[in-house]
Amino acid sequence: MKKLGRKNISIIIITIIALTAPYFIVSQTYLLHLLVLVFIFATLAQSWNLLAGYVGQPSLGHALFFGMGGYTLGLLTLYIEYFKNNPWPALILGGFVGALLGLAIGAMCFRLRGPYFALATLAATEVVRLIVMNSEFTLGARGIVIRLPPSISTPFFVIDFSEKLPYYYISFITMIASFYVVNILSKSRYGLLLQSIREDEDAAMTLGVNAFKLKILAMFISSFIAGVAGALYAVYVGYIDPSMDPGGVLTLFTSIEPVLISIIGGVGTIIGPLIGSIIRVVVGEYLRVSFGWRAGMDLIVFGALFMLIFFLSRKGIWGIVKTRIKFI
Amino acid sequence: MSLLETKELSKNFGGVIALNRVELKVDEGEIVGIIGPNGAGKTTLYNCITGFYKPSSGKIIFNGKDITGLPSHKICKLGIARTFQIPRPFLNLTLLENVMIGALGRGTSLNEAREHAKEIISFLMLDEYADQPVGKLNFNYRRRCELARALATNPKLLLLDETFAGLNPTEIDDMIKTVKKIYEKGIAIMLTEHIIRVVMSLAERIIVLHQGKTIAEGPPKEIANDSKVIEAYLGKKYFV
Amino acid sequence: MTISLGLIINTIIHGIMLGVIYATIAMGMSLIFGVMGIKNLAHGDFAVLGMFTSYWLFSLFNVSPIISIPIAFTLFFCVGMILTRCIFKYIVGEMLGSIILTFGLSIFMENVMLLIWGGDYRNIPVEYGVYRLGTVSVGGGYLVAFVSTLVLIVLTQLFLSKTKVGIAIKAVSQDPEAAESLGISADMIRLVGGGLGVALAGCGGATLSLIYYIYPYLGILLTLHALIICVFAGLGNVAGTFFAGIIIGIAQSVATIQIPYALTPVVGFVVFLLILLFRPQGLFTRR
Repeated sequence: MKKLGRKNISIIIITIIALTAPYFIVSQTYLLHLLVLVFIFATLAQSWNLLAGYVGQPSLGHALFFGMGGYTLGLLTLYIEYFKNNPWPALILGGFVGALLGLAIGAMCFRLRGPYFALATLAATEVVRLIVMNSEFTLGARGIVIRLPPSISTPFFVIDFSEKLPYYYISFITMIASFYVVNILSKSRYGLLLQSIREDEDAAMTLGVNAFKLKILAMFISSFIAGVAGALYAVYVGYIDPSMDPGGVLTLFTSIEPVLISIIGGVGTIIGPLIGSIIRVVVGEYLRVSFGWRAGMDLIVFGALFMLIFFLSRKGIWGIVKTRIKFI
Repeated sequence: MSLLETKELSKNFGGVIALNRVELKVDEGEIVGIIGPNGAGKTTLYNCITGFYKPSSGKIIFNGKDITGLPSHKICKLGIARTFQIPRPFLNLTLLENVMIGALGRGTSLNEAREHAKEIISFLMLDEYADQPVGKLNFNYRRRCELARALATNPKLLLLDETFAGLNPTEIDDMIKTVKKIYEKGIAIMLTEHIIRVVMSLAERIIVLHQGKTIAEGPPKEIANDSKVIEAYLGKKYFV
Repeated sequence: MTISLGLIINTIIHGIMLGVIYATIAMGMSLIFGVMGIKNLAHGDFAVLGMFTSYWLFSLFNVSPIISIPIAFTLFFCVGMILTRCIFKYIVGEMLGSIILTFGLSIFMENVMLLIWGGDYRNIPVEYGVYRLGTVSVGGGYLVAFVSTLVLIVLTQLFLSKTKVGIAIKAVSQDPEAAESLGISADMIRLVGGGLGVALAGCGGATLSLIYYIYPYLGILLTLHALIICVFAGLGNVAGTFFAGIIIGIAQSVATIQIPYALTPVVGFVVFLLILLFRPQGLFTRR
């Protein structure tokens, strides 16, 4: 019991620091910007982690849920008056759209064994991207500009969305919420059952585990979180488009981000995605700044690093993933 | 009414007939032994009963309900559990967690499942290994883990698939005692085995499979003296 | 738009031609899967490299793209062997692991290409004229591409079924251990298989450069396309990819009558989904 207390206290302390720190660095907009990105991508990575680490199904198309979550918010703020002035509920709606897409793919693939799920997510992302690119409804290749959310006045202060600070808090809370959800899930009966499916689906079935239903459940949560992260990204960046350049939300380059981050930070741990995201964003920025690289070139380095880590793992390639789920 | 009944159960793979209109019965609380040379169809029979394979024709009735073709997890929930010839534990989870998964299949809470799992682990005297990852346990204990896991699902019928294979004589004696303990709990048991002394000492009734068909059925003494069986399998008389 | 018989025939002919060209790339993928159990998600990127090879040989040395085809074949055969020796050998049989690793490889390759050559669309400006037969008109480039890939496919099939090495490849694809016990070195065969597989990709790409424009991101599209063909035919069924490629090629071509060209991959995707739902083992496997 003592150990549990210490862990919880340290989490609370870190949270307090994270919540108050910005006031000291509020002028460091660059740093705040990086942190927002760290939190958003940590959220995305956590959602991928749930599926890959727990269920054993690596998705190669998480950009689909991320990007369509973003497009949901974009389209809603574009066409519907209510959202023009108040885009925040669209975050949740973006999550639902992501979840819907996830359920669709899961329903089709989870009855099959093998890599079909990974391949289907890959194909689905690319196809949806093409559709979005060629459809007038989504403004095609021009992309959608998401207008600045109007300021919100509270009795004590005004929340001004042209500044980074509000986004810092929103993304931080989103990240914490997603981590919390995944943590609760992993400690629940579902967490244990999902691990059994990952270890040996057939054996689990003979023990009464309804593998399909559980995989769908995990998929729902995973793609929902990814959708929310995408919507948040869209409203933060203020622009979203279906181009194939790195930075596009529906690209495979975005799809590999959660994979990269999780591998670097440690698959199957709750804190891994945060660590991985910090490394990814910081190192990425450093490379970009010191060498003047355009977006995507840091992926060369990370891609090579990724392959190296994967390749050299002594447990065999997928062995890294199939280890015990650790919590922190 | 029997607990388990198969009616004209057949399964073929392409041109190979694995099960040929097998009719068998298991009553509540019985121990039935299934013997037969390799390839006789014992594992196929198990796979059909537990929903791994869909029978090509015929029916399986459990507790009055037609379970033919149902998915494995539903069959488990109805009360049939099995072990595998080569144990398939969840290697990266602890023994306790493995057994808990069996307990969870019944839809209980995590704590209830943990308590139930601990009971089963004590019942099988595996307490000292409860917190070890099963990947670290040796073959014998993996076997027992399988057994504990299957028991945790509260089955009415337990299918044991060559549970005694690969065990040394002391381990066999221990396992016989364990199976008897399970039997005393009122759980019906179907066991396939190659080791004759095990089947003879445990089973109340023996069914002999050969090339997918039942060629004999009866109490152990009868089977040991049945010429058809001896011809197909035993090779010489065996005195109990 | 009036749909005349001529239009339909023209469409179908183009579909067949494109299908055959894509089938070449798919064949390479199927071969690599068959002999090593690896799904190479970077396959399309090798095809794009093949396209770039053809482009640069033309731009720098004025080499006709047609000559580039056999050059690409040889070059990428070597590349394939190196790749097999250094990377593929170690992930033989790992289904999910190979997918993730080659995914990383694909991203790596595309960004390197992006870095070196930029994302602009390029084109090899060689005119081959147009040939007509009745209502059918075909660009010369298409014709050349079609004929060369057809020759390539026939040669590959002959190689696989008539030569000792080819039969050994089939053996290792079916049962590596049995093949080894018969004295076949699975490692050596995998080198050849891997080399041939990548060669088909690179060479297919070089062929494609005659008729299509070149840019780094084409890689993922080509990979997906080849993947769909492979799944359609049944994974590991090398001969089947030929017919699968043609069928899908025709389907996509016919679809262009109604939908814009850029959206044709959707057709492939729909096919993919249908296969997953109804016959995941592929159409031409014997199960």
